[in-house]
Amino acid sequence: MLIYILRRLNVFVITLFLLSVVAFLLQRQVITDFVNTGNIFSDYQRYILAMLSGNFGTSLASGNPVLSDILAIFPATLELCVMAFIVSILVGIPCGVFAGLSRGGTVDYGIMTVTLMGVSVPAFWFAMLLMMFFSLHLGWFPVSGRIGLLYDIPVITGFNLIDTLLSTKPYKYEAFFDSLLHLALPTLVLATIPTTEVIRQVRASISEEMDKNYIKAAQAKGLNTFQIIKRHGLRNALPPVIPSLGLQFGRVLTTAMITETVFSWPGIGPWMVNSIYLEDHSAIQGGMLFIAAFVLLANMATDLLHLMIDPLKRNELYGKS
Amino acid sequence: MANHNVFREEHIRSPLAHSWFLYQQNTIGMVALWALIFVLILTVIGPWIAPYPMDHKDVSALLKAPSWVEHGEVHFFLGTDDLGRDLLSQIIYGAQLTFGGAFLTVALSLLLGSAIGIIGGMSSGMQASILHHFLDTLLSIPSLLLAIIIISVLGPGYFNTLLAVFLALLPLFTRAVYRAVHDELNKEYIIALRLDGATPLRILRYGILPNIVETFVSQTTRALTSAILDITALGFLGLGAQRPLPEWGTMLSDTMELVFLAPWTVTLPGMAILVTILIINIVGEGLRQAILKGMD
Repeated sequence: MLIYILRRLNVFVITLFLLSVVAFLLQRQVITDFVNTGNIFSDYQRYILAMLSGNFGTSLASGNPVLSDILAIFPATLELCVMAFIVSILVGIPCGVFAGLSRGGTVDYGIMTVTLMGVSVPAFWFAMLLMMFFSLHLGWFPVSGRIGLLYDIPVITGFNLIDTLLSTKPYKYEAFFDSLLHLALPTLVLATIPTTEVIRQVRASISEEMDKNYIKAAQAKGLNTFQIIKRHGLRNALPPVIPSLGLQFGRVLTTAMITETVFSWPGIGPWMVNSIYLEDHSAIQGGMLFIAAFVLLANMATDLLHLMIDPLKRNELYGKS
Repeated sequence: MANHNVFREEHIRSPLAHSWFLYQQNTIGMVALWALIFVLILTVIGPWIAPYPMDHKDVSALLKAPSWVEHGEVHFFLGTDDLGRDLLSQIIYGAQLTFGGAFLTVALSLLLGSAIGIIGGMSSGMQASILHHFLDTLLSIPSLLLAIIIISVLGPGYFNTLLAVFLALLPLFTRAVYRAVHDELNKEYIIALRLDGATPLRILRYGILPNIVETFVSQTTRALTSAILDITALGFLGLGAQRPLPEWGTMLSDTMELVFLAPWTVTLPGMAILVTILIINIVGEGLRQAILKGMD
């Protein structure tokens, strides 16, 4: 296990290195007043040393260090992504199981049709439709922002749901529900992508497991379908799904950037787009490196999680399969 | 019908012809295929059949509702937007920008990407290893983010969007083809071919390519949908095509403030995107299933 972690870390570091080279070359290309000594290697050395000490440069637009700007807004994006993943797991697993059990049947057909729609719908348009219907027509949810302007919640963690509960204000529960209401529509939009992926994977995985002999043995013992799924089916069907969920993280993060633009969510999406408009290159580059590193880190974390949960995969690594 | 087959022997189709036969049994798939052909034709001859020129603005018909609603007029079949532009014409012109653009970029990156993938897959050792790691790096960045990064260097614009999407799609094709070729190369029938003295080119032509058609189909489907989604998303964010170009995503981005007044300006262009991606997905998935079945 330790050896695998070290190997995985090694790949992570090499990938980050390649990424930094690409970012460096782009910066050299774009920024004309970049202090070029003419020697590309010594320039890169200076660049990477600055990066390693956490100095991503200063944003031309806000005048703050880029890293502190990013750290101030990134929790908003992360909150959205985490909520989307929670929803996708809560909805995706049961739907996937139902579809997998009735493969070829009506339920399966219905779920897969909805899934196909979910894959095909452009996120920003879906967001606009939801906003038109639920916010403007029915008035159930707020149109934009993270929390009502009436509530003044001090920033502690940057996650609104946690901050509202931690605060000592008398209206903290109202504020909590208000931020939940603000979260609802963006989360729904963002959850479509990982949910469809979870449904597809769980469906394939369940319908494959259900044909195996141990399931027949369980049926012969007299367990009902629910017990079989709970005790045997899911335990073997879920672990292979984990890595694909990790791979979804990148797509969710970029979709979050679009969703945020529609809902005026103060996250990294509008910030990046704005930086591009303003040609604020140090901000663009810092944001790009930060997001890419975060995606890589998430991929590595899910790989390790998969390894911890799934003993079959561990055996494979040690050549014992 | 009279049977003209004099001989008893059964005619056996080639696997691909058999796949096509299987696909024809799939009703929804065939409907989607015809719809796709319709969209393709519309893309090509759009400028000749659109009722109004691309930049035609009718000041006397601002924010007309679609013809089937009250106050709608039949000369503006899908209604007009806040500058009096006919939505139907705009969507027809947009097909060329969105669908046509996506189609071209995917075709180009399919050609170049699979060429690199095949070369990488057929070779081994250092060359393959470098390609492998480089692609892993690129693929760890989501395609839209990659496109945004490229746009941030090149600057916003329609052509730059296509270039960015093309560059973002390349690693996808290269990686998938590389993997498929590499996996196929280690199978026993290829070793048998090699023992028979086949040259690499012959192995590729008769051994590998017919067996990885499924990879091409599924990757092309994925690439087409992601290209359309990326082009429209960039247009929506204001980084892609700019007005007056009626790219579908761009059309949506300036209707944000019309959501209340004229909901059809929001629903109709989005509907065009949704339907296009839906039929591509249905055709792609149907073809993939048919090919997998035809191989057995």
